[in-house]
Parts: sequence; structure tokens; C-alpha cells
Amino acid sequence: MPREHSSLDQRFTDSLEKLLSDIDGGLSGIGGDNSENTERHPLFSENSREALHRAGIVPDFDGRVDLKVADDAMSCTATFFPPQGNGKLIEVDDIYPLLDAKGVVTGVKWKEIEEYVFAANTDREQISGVIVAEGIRPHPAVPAQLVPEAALLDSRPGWKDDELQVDHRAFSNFVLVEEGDVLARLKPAEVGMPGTTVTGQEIKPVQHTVSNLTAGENTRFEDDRLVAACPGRFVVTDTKVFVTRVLEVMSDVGYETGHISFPGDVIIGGEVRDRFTIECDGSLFCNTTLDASEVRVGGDITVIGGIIGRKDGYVSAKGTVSVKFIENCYVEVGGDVRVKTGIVNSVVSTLGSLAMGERGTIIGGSITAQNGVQVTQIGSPSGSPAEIACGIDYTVRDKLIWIRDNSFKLAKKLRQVELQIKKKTDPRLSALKDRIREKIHALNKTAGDIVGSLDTNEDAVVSVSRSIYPGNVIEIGRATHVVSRTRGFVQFTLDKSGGTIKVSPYDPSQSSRS
Amino acid sequence: MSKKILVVDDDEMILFVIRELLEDMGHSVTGVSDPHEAIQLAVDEDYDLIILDLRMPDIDGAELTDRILSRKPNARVLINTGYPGDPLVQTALDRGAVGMIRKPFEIEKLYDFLGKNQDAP
Repeated sequence: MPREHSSLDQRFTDSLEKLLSDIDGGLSGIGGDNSENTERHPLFSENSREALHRAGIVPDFDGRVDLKVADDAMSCTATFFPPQGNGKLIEVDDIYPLLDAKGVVTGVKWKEIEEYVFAANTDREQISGVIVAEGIRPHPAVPAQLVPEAALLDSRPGWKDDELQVDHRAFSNFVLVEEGDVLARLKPAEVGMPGTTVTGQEIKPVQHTVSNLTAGENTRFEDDRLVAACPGRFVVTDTKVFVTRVLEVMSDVGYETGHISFPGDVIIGGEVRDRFTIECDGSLFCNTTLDASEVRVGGDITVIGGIIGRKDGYVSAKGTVSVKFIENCYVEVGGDVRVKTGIVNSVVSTLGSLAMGERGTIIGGSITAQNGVQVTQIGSPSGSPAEIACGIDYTVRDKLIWIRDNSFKLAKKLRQVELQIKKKTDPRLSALKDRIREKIHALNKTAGDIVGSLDTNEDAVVSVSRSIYPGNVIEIGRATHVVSRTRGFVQFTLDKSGGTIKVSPYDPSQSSRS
Repeated sequence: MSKKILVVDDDEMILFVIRELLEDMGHSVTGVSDPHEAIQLAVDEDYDLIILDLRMPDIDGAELTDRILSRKPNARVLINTGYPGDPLVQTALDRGAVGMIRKPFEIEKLYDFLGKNQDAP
């Protein structure tokens, strides 16, 4: 029943007239007299209710509850509509049939429901989207696993990221441990538990896969802890946690130490003097400058200073190389190469990519990087130009060069023999000529056999974030581009359809640095 | 498939070795050291590939490329040079040469420009 008002002013009359008019219009639009169903009719909106309130008329509405089961059936939410006027209060018992109708059989939060019902009835405020039933999520089955110590993983050295825009820690892993240091912990298996939806459906537990790390060499278990069995370098690969024995030479490598040859990792605290060689199966870490005569490393090379290869300096690493600079040196690398400042008059070949720091400049020499080059500057206004080749496997190319050079030597010999034959007849000369020709053919056949494995990467990119000067040569696969004018902020890619090199604005998203 | 190739170089040893390699690959090779003779041959014959020395006494490879392609636009010219940074290389490429190889020659690029899977004739 609407409440009585002592007086009806003009404002009230106008608003009521408008409302009645709106209702008439709405009813005529849907047809029929729906006066008994106005509570549920969409035309009887909150606006209309407000208008009624403004008019001092409060209709009677029963309290009610709407339920909604989530798509995954893991929860059921409710909206409580409070009673209005003299409408019927919501009762907890009203909710049983609603839950039944929705198929909700478990996880019902009766205590919360009682509180919502009470609040809706007393506060007369709508309570929306509250969870009234919740399923039980399954607990995944997790096998036992060896988890490396986070502190060791985080303590790998390297330059700061902002100095080089490269996370050197990603490939410069030189963490030393003492005997007994904890390397990893054995996390026990967790049994999987099924879950249940609010509609009573069982959900089978998921079987989680974990890394299959195992304990490697120079480690032992102490209860659930894997510890170092000797001092050395902590290493984690995809399959195992282990410690490699480390040779630490804290002085310079020179006449006091002699050449270094070691089956594990080597740490050099001082400088490596010219003419002294280092050979190791593991990785090499050098705190200062590496004056390289001959360095052959089975793993990674990390040099805080630079590599200086006076005369015929040669450095090879099967893993990655991370250095400040490279000067006058031949460097061959199986993985990626990171150089902070410059590569000067050097021959650097890698099966990975070359990324240089913010001031990274290449002057002279030649670079072969199968997966591309990211550099700040190539050449200088007065410096000697460089040759940058991408997309090819330098090891195959070097074999082909060896074949070519030997074919050339044999061809020269063949010419000499032919001149001799013209001067005198000697069956031995003819036999020699045949042997040389046979060998040239054998070399050519070998070239044909291996040329297919050159393994070109046509997507390799040479990115120059500042300048490239005239005379520098860019090659991607078989395509060549000779820089004829100074250019800035450019990148070179292979136009596969035309077989030419395309020069376009520098795109940092395609850089090996990012 | 056998291809017909013209090699132009004033270094007879380079001519000889390239010829040996290409003939071992199953191709037919004509080698000349005179660029004027090369122009005539390139115009008169149909070669699948013409390999030009960039620096020759009378006429450079870029000019030679221009003269050949102006009379035989479909010819495929490959520049051979000891100085890849030579500005003439890019000039020749701009004038229509299909690529550059380093002297005395680059086996992989020769295979590439002739098609990798060579069948004997």
C-alpha cells in the first residue's frame, strides 16, 4: 500500500502524471494488462521505482534471490533483492529449491547465505554477485624434483644490464662453491587430489611435469640436500646439477705457470701473457685482459677485459663468448657472442649471433654470424671497412675455402707439369698430371657434397642502431650490399624474392640485443 | 642440368680453376680474358651465367655489366672481385649484376647462383 501524504504539491502531481503516462505507453507497447506482473516486467525498471519513491509511493515487492552457476561449475553466485514496502522477507528456506533447480549439491556456504539474507532483509539494499557455493579445485600430482638453490642461480656475474642491454648472466655462469655447499634440495612428490564442482562432478587431478634434473658429478646427497662433493664451479643444465673441478690461476699466466691445459674450468686472475696457450674442456673466466696466442675452450669464455690477439692470436669456444672488446684476433665461437665496446681488425665467426653494447663498434676485419648482428656502429669516417656476413655456417664455408685454396695450388702445379711436358716427354710427368687432375676432381666432388650443408639462415638481420660508413660490406646468404654513403639507424635484411639486400629503418624489435 | 657459363678474367689461373670446378659440376664453360671478346660472346651466345672480373685493364666489370645488359637484358652477370668493399661492386649491382663473389671464387656462391642441386648432364 502506498503511504499517504498529507498534501500533494504540483511537482508531485507532474511527476506522477509523467510516470503514469510512461507506464501507459509501455503497456500499450506490449499489450494487455500486466498489472499483476509488474514486479518482474522489464518496463518496471529501477527508474520507475525511483520515480515512485520520489512520488512518495513505495510499492510492495517480495524479496527474492537469483542464482548463477559459473561456466566451469566451480562456483555459484547469488544476487539478493531485498523486499520493498510490505513485500515478503527472504527466507533461507527459499534458497533450497533454487539451489536444487540449478543442480548445486555441494560446497554451499550456508553461514554466509544466512548473513546475506539477514542483511538484505534488514538493510533493504541489493547484494550482488556474492559466492554462495564453491567447488573444490583438484590438487595436481607433482613428482619429486630436484630444485637448484635460488641463491646460486642469482649470483652469476656479469655486466649490469643497462650497460650493455644484454643480460650477460644468461650465458655467463661462473659460480664457485666449496665442498659441502648446498646446490639443490629434493622436493618430495605431492599426491594428486580430485576436485568437485558445485554440481557434484568429480574433477581428476592434473599430472604436473617438472624438470628432470638429476644429481651430476662431484655432488652427493645429505638427507634431502644435494651438496658439493668438492670445491668447484656450480653448473645447472637442462638435465643435471653438478660441480666441475676448477683450476684457479690467480696470478698472470706466463713463465711462472707455463701453458695451461686442464680438463675442467679455468679461472685466470691475472693477465695471459703473449705466446702462452690455454686449453680447457670446461669454461674460461678471465678477470682482466686475455692476450691470446692460442686459446681453445670447450665451454664458454667470459673475459672482464678484452681479448687482444697480437700477430696470429686465435681463440675458440664451443659455447658462448662474452668480452669487453676484441682486437687483432681470430675468434671462432659455437654459440652467441657478446662484445661490449668494439671489435677491431679481427675475424670473428659464430654459429650464433653477435650482439654489441651501446657503444659497440666494428672497425675493419670480418664478421660471420649465422643468426645476425646487432651493432651500434660499423666503420668510421677514417677507419678501414669491415665485411659482415650473415646466414651461413662458417665451418662449412671454411671447408670450402680450404678446398678452393688447395684446388688453386694443384692447378698451379698442373700448369707447371704441363709446361714440362711440352719441353720433354716423360711418362712420369703424364702420370703426375693425371694424379693432379684426379685430386682436383676429388676436391670438387667433396665441395659438391658439403655445399648443401652450408645451412643458410635467410632471416638473419644486421641491425645498426647508429651509423654505418661507406665501404663496409654486408652479405646475407648470397646477396651482397656495399655501403656507398653514410647511413644511420638502418637494418639490412634479405629480400628473398629478389635475392637482394633490403635496407630499412632500424627496428629494435628485430635486434639480437633485445 | 648442364648450364652454359662464360667466365671473364685476365688471370688465367683463375680461369683455369673456375673452369675445372664448373666442368666438374657438369657445366659447359667458356673462359676469356679479353673483355671486348666477352661482350661479343655474351651478345652472340645465350649463357646461363656470366662471371666477370671487376678490375680489368681496359674496362671495369661495372661498365662491362652495363654494356652486356644493355644489349642482352636477360643475361645474369656475377661479379668476381678481390675487394668486396670496392664501390664498383655496388655500381655493378645497381646496374643489374645478380651478385658478387670474392676472388679467386667462392664455391658456395657459385653453387647457389647455378642452383644448389646440380645434376650431371
